[in-house]
Amino acid sequence: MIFDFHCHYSPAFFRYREYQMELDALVGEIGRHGVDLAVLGPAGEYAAYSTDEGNAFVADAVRRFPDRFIGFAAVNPWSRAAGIDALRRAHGEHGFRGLVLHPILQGFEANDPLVFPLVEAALALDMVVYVTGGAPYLAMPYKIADLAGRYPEGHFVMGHAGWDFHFDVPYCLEACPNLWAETSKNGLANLEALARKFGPSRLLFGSDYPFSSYAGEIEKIRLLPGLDDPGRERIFSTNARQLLRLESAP
Amino acid sequence: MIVDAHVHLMTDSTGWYAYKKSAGGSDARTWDASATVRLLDDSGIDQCWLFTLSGLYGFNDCGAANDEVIEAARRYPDRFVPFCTAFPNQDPATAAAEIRRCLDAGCKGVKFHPWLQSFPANSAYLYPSLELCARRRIPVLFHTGTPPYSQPFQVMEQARRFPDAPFVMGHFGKILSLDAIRSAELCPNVYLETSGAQVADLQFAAERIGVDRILFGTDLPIGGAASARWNMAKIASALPDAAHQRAVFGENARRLIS
Repeated sequence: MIFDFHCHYSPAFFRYREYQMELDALVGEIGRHGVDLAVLGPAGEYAAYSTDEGNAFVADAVRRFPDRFIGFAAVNPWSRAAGIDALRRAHGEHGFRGLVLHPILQGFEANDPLVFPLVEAALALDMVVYVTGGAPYLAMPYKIADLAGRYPEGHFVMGHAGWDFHFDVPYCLEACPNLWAETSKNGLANLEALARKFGPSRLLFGSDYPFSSYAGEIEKIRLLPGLDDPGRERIFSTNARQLLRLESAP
Repeated sequence: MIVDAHVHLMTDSTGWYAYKKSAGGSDARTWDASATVRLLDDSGIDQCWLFTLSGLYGFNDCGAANDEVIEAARRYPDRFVPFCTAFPNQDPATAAAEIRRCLDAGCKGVKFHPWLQSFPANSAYLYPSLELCARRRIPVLFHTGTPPYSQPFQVMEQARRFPDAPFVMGHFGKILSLDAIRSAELCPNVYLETSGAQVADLQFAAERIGVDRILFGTDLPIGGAASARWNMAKIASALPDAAHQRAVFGENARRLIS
């Protein structure tokens, strides 16, 4: 059972270069790798700027494959009140379960007061807040922890487990029991350090597809030392299901 | 033949190192030469570029750490290609002299870690060392990523100043991979080492510069054999062509070592 907490879908987008994605091919790809459920968010310009369009593509994917995908909405906090409206629509009309913030693409510091009203709106809707983590200086782990620490009742995910700022992540997870680390892109040693310090309960498997490969990302978690089968299952699936309260799922 | 362009001799015999503890790890395990060879065997790696870890910390004896690497390569000449390091910010001339000593003792390359060694990669303190490397066409591998000290464009500045030396960007620039790839595009003596690269970075780099300046690397023993497999899997996903894989997994690195 694999739950992918960080997957992208936009039909055609730009991220350093042009990408094309086919929804049916994506469904085939995740099926081939034994992924049952994936959190989908928009990519490229649809995460950065044309977020309403990006969310509509994701909503369409969720509508077509409701047992495969869970929508997370991208909202640029600079859109302020309009963005909050868009988030409420994504939740109310399309059942989106989370908010994706991308400080690099969207151009804000993760703990800028600019983002507080948007985060508060998401938490009021019981949505999970995913923040792409690790880039200097906008998305450094301490900034994400500062944001999460303001809302101890909310659920926050640090994307890529803090990536290049791995030294900071153990402190951040310790300081914020409401913060989880998503595993894509990051290396074995850093994830192992987190698993040793916290056990498997604070890690969420993510693929970062199509920027990383399912084969590699899944293999990486299988290779993580020091975990028993239930522990690995927690990273692959259980933690994510609990976070999104999908207990009833098979 | 699989050549790994980024492996540390991770002992504590020439001083303490902080990596494991700072990363929140449970211990400070060490890998001497024979343990490193076993790790290469377990990982399916035939040969590696080897450099110190403890010697990158200024409070340790860098010369003794270089000697330990040289000695390891004497014991296992087929497995280890020895690289040395030095501290240019303490005294540029002394650093160059230490590098000359090590090259004369058999080292085939130089490793700098601007972040751990506390200097910006474009520092003039490096000039005497890099001049020597350029004269002998010795590859110089920099840790890259983790700004402000280890930015790819800082390394590129040096690569332009010393066009006769190959400059290898360790970890593919990490979060600054776009800049690492751009540096390689602008500068023919820049090479990219894949530990820290993502699949998308590898694909993008292959489109922009081809595969002949991409070198497989792992950062072992950090992460262990599992990390080696993950690093191999990334390359296999990004570069399915068998000839491309041969180039990245060994041919490119071997070409740089005389």
